[in-house]
Amino acid sequence: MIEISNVSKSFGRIKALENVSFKVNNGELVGYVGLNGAGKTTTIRIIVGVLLPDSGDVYIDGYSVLKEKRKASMRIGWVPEIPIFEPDVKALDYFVYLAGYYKISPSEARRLGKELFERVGLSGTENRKLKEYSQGMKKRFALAVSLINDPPNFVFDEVLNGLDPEGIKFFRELAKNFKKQGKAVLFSSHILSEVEALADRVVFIHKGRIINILTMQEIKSMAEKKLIVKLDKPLEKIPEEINSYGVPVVEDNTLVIRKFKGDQSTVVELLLRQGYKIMEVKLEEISLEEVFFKLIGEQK
Amino acid sequence: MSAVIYDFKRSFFRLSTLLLLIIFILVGVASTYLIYSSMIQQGYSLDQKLSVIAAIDTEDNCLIIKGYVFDEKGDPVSFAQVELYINDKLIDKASSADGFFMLCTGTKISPTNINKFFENITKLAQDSKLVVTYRDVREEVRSSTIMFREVKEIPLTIGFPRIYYLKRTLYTYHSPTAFISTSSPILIPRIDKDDVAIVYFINPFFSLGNNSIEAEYCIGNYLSLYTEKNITKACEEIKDLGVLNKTIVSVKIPLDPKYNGLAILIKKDDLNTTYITGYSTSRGINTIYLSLLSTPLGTIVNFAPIIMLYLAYVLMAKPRSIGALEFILARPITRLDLYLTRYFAAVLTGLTLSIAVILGLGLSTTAILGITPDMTALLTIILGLFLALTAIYSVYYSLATSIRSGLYLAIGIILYLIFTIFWQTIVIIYAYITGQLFDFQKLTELISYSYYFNPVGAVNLLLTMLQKSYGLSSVEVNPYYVGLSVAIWIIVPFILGYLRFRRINLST
Repeated sequence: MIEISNVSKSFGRIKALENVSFKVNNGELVGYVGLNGAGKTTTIRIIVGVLLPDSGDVYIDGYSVLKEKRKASMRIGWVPEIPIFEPDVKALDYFVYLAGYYKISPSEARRLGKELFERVGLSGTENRKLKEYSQGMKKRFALAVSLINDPPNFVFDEVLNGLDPEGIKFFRELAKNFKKQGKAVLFSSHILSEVEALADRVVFIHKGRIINILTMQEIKSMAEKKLIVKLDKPLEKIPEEINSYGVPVVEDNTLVIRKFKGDQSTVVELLLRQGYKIMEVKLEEISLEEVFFKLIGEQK
Repeated sequence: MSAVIYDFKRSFFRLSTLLLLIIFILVGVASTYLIYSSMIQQGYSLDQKLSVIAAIDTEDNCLIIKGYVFDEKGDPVSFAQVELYINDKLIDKASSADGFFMLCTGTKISPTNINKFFENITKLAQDSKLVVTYRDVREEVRSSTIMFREVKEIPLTIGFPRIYYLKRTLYTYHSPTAFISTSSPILIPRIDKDDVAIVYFINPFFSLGNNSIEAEYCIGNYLSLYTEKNITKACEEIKDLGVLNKTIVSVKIPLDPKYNGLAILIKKDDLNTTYITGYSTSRGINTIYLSLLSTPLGTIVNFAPIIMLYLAYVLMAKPRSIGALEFILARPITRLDLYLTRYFAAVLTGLTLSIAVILGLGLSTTAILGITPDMTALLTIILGLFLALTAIYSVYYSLATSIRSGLYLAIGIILYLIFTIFWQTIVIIYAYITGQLFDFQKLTELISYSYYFNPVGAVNLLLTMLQKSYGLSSVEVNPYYVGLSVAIWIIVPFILGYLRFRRINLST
């Protein structure tokens, strides 16, 4: 479990995070959503212990990142948005070096390295220097390193950025698998459709503050459907039955039913029976993105 | 694998590090050749192991030569064949017994023909030599005459010309200057424990009766003993050697390692003379070696900090600047662990380099010169070089934690130039401003003491201490100050660097 407790961080005069608190439970995949510069990466860097907060703390399975860094770091894996390594080192050598911090012997680390390289799709690139790796390969390498001790918590920071479709699929499946394995996974992304598809809960951050934390159920309940029906002529009177499908509004020759529920074909049939010709039917569903911007709007 | 060992391997087995290591070892080997050729130029050979002291004396109304032969350990040699030649004509030969030998010159003291007598004396003084053969090694010792440095010159008419034969070797206990000049007939073939030297010297008044000839000795700074008009001012303390009753006198004199000059003052009535020799409590070979070592060591000290500048760059400045330390810090380690790991990796590299370079120097010495260098000296130099590299690394490491890699390199290079290449120039400018430039002793002291304020000064300070103990330097370096200086240069930047590193944002 990852617990972020009242974390604040400033860079000079700029407040990057202000009293950020949320939890990621075991077996839960939490999306972390915000605009660029909202504070997602700063939060994640504090979670993994590479950046010190001005106040607050982060607990990984109950271990304080500030006070028990070794134990906390032992229980969390991290794939950064832009992984940066010492460039002139061969990948497997660097893996062995980093495995040393987990008290793994060089021979064991080499064996494990080859196994994990294969698992993350880096097989055959073990002796290439890290500077020769593409961005996607670097992310896979970071993942391989994070899997050294198979920690129960994982943090992915904009991991899908810059990946090809195969890479996106790989990480998507990986996150799902981690969730199945009971790991706590925090997944930051600005590709909101991905978050929507994966997350159990979404934490919304804006200008360094958590503006809402919603389960996907709550998001879905917030999301309203809108049926738009274009007619051949303006609707003279809204049929009584339409009211049971939602809140109808007429604009010239277009009928818009907000908060639409029910079967759209029934509505079409009803209008046809009234003698209207149907030019176009469109069912619009409000997205996570719209929820997000709605939340931001509320925040403003 | 321990992260320190990994980082050490990455630092040490780096092309640039290995290249400089090879260059340093080559400098060491080249220095050994330099030492070897200097010895040859000065007429010393490692094959020459027999030291000899002999002088003209009288016996049975005849001019004879009495003397002693010692081996490289300073022990008297028996069965050494000693021959006297005048103009390459064999005059007499004898075999030594317990080091002592006696030869007849064939010249009577009361000659009927006074001109013939002085002609023989002149031949002895100018054209005679002793040839000593021992275990198939043949060595020649040419004659010398005693030079009096006192104002009251002894008239030649009194007694006989003071002809003597003296051969010091690289195994006797003289300082390098004493090897160049043998004008004072003093031989120190051996030093026993507690630095008590067995000193042989020639009584210059040997033909004038023995009863009233008295001798004293004192030790002090060799240069001061030589330059001071009133020698007693340059002496630590004048001590009595008693009445001289032999031509070649053997005495035991405790030599203070703090000094490097021995003066023997000999008086007869109102006549007196003084012998001065530079001594060392270590064998000449070691002393010469050490005195010549300062040049290659200086080269190494001047360039070795580049390695540490580079290591702090690759281990801290560069990865910190590009943000590569963040990913490492996400491992189960603390910032202190990371800071210590990269610090000790380079310190270990510095230690390995110091050992490799100095051992390279030592082994090449053994291979080329066939001698084993003084281990104390080698270990002291290794320690000095290691401490110097650690201290300069602390400075660079501290900088590397605080500033971006580009600026780090710029400041690092400036500091390198100040602490190595331009250091003596800066001290000389300071000496000029403070009016100490033209006082050689003060300038030497100022340069030596300035190294307290230099992170790479440890090696110079320890070398000065070493040279002082070998009688090669008159500068007194306080070992406590050396320790304090080294500790401050290592610990202060280390702590300052960590205070910065523990809070710094490691992201790009």
